[in-house]
Amino acid sequence: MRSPRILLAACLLSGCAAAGRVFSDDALRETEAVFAAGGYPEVIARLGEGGVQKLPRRSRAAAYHLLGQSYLRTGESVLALQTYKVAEGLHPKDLTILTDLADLLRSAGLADLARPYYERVLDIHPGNAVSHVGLALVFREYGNLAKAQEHYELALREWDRNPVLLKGYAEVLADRGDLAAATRAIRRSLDLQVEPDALVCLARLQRRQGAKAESYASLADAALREPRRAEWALQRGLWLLEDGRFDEARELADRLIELDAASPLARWLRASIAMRRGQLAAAEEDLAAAAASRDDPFTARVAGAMLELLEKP
Amino acid sequence: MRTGRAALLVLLLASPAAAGDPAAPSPSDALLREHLWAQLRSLPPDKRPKVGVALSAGAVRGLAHVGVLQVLEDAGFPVDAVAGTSMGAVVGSLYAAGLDMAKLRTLPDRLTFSAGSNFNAIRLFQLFMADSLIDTRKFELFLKNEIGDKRFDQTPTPFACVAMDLLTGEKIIFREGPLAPAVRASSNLPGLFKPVVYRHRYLVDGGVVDYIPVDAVRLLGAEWVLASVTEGDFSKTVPSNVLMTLSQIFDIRGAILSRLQRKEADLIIEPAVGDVPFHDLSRAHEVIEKGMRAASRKLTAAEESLILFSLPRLQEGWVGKGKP
Repeated sequence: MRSPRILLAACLLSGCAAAGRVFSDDALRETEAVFAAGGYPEVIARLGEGGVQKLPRRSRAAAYHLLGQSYLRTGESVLALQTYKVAEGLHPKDLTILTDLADLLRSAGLADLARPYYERVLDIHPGNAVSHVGLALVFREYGNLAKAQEHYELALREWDRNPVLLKGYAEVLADRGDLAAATRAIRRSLDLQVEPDALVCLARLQRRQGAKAESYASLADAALREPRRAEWALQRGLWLLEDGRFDEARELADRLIELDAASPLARWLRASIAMRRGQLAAAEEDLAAAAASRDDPFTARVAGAMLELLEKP
Repeated sequence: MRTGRAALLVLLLASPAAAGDPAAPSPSDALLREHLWAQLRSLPPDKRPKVGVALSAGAVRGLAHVGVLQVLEDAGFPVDAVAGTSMGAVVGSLYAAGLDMAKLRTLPDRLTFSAGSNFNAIRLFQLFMADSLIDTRKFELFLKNEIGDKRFDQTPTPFACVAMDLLTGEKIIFREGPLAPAVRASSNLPGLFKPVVYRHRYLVDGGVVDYIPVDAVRLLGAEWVLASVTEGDFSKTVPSNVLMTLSQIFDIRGAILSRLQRKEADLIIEPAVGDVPFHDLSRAHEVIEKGMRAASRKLTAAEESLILFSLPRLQEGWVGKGKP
């Protein structure tokens, strides 16, 4: 009786080993290298479908992180969410897993669901910069700018050389009306990395502080670095209009309409100049074209309303 | 657990980011809005439409108005007149009197039932056993501590509040005289607090006759009105005592009035506070935050609505003004 039992146990053990071979930590390091090289489908092939469970317990949280990130980078956000939810259940105090899950939820527009995870991370590690950034973005979305500023400042204690973070901080300061501090923050961001959106942010701050020449220069610099962004040319056109530089604004609007005849804002810009010059027929023509736009509903509504007003006796 | 996950997935799939955020404004729309908003803000107040804010009743839920006003102030949204009912009157009076927003945000820390009335366990016992209503005279002192002994004509932002005369059923809109008794009357919950005897009238909470005081703010000259509405969701609560039943009847009455009054406003901001019980001050800060969130979500729509409303006046200043 005894020997068949031993035989059975031996068979079972060998079967288990064959079916669920446990990898060493080296396997995770190899997978990390594959991930770093951009081999996301291969990471998924290695770690998906129970692959993580084959790793030693101590490596699993890191493996779930790699797997979730790989799903995200291959556009599989639902699978990433599933991965992080499973990982969060198994590793409820792992800061990386918690922030991964929170970041994913927040970027999907689910700030309410993301917030408790960030807060849980801060309960464990009060200085966690990732969670402070996450909460800054959550509070910004909530419209709670004071709290957003507070979390940006806490994140900057650790990441004071992060240009993206500094730009977000500058935007919140600008929204709160602290233009001088916002300008300092955006300049620090630009010192670390010259990025066109940050230049536009600086341009807007300069304009709000009355430094018009500098604001045109910063905007031109941004446009030079990223010439495909038509909105910056439109921004320049609107500023020219505000400043009463109608000839330049008209020239710019003509050029923009040449490039894209359907551009409702360029049409609106040209109509506004024509209206100021008393050329009402020309204004009506451009307003009618702008009012027909479906891509820019607000511009279309404004153009339509202005057209109606012009047509009134 | 499984249902929770399924719901999460549904939410994720339905979220704006997953769908490429069709609700996000186009860059052109954002630029034009910013441009026209700056034009509108640069007009002198008498050259642009007068903006009114109507703050609804709603007891503790009405503290969400603090969050709404905070977002409007941060965004530089003009507020030329304010009217409030009940908690809307409390928040509105403090705002109109010029109380700093940071101090207004901490209002729940100072505003308790016992701070505004002679409410305590003995009084509550008396209320039920001897039909002795709670006195709210202390509330006037509370208001005076916050903003001084102001009159309606002394508030930097014009203000009105609404109460009801218990003897005639009339709606009383206060626009003059001392602020404190009027605000006390406007927020004086019938059945719990003693009516306020003022100018030969027996006044109680205006929420019974004017839940969203759009008409009151229009009386102050507002042409474009933003209403902050903090209705209760009575459909989910089965009241278990006298107070809860009374509050539920208030909420139902408020909802009926609100249906009509919403149509009179140009824009509605509705914080998601329907589940907050009328007395639950422990959720006050959460309620303020919900006010901020609702206002933040509606800010773009509010700016666009006001721009479109103001276009005739803006355009009047453009035509023929740039002739070479």
